[in-house]
Amino acid sequence: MSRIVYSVVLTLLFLASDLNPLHAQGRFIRRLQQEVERKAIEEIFEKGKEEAGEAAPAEAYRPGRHRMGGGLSQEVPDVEQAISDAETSLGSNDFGGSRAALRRAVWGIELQMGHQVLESLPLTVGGVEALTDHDRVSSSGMGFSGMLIERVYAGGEDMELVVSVGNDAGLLGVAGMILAAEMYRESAGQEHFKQIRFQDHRAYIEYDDYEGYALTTPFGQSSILVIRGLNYSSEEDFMASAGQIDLHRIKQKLGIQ
Amino acid sequence: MNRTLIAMAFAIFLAQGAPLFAQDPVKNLDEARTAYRSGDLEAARFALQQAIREVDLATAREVLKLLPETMATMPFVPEKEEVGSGAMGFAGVYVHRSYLGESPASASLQVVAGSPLLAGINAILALPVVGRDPDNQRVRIGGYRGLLQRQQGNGGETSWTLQLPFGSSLLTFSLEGIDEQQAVLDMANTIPVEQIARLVQ
Repeated sequence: MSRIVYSVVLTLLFLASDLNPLHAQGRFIRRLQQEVERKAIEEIFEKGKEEAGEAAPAEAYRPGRHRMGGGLSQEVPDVEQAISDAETSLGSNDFGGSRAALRRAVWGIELQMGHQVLESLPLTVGGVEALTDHDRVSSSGMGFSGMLIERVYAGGEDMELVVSVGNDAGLLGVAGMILAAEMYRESAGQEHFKQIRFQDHRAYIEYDDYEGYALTTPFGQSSILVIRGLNYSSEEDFMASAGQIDLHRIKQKLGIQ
Repeated sequence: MNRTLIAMAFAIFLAQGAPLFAQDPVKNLDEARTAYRSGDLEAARFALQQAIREVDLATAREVLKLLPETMATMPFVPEKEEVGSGAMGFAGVYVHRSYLGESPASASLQVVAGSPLLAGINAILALPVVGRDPDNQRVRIGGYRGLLQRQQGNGGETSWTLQLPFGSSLLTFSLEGIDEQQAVLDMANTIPVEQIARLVQ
């Protein structure tokens, strides 16, 4: 404690004796002085608390505000059990129960398929790294909205790449029609949209000043790959990163020819 | 001689039209289990989706058994009965039955179940009533709230539509050539809504 006070006093004396009439230098000295004072005060008070055995409060209590909790445990449906449950329900003519069990089984399978796809994706793409904690697989257990797989890559200078795969969704069956409509949009003189080829598939790329680049590639009968890139300096830069996502491998993992 | 008989029997069978046999959901489940154990997840999913479709069809056939065979004096028309499944699309069980009386009286009953899109009908029914519209009335059938609408055609003929949502399912009862609202409600009250709801949920 005495050592800190001594060093503070010494520093202040040194600074006071060396004052320069120049304004910029004076400002620098004032900042330095404030910084030294702040550090000294922090150290003195923290030590005082430790000596008194006082623990720093984690956070002030505020009524109605959630502060802790570990969330929900992750539940992956047991596919074989769900199939057995569906059989049992069928045997007793419980069609509702059977349907629910079958959906649970489809959900379990789709989660596994999704995780296989995620494992097949690279951990780094260009200058960005996968945020595997943000990996997401969602499944409705039915064909209308199908399965959605998502991985986020981030790094570099606020660069972000989001890879989304939609699979077996009835809604996505119209993706080809959308592409045909977009061809018209392209010919109508839109400068932020164009049709390209991506890994032997017809695709289209868009650019928006606020949303960055987006590459959309329909594949299979009702699946789609969407890659979005933020803060990429050019189309070539974005496409070089997007090209590292292997669509053929994704198709293979999803069992699509 | 034997060959001729076999050929004739085969020709008669084909002339009648070979029926599309319904698949057994248990067989689909066996296929799903085998595919899953061999690591073919896509095949397992397909087999399970087929099984869902079969279960939906079986449910629809059970719903048909519950529906009244006559509405007042109108018998149902077996040829116009429909059951379906939208397991791959947005809807689940689909059932349709038509009734035909003396011209111009006719009715039809339709149940679409398991559709997440239909839950919104409940919200419409929960909206507060502003004013009183005699052509759009809230009614209660078998303990369920519904919306009864009356339409008047150009030729003076009256038609009615009753929409009865339960959960994510919708029962629609349509009538033509009936003038009295009470007659419509009496017919609607013969529909075992609660049993249907229990079956399709």
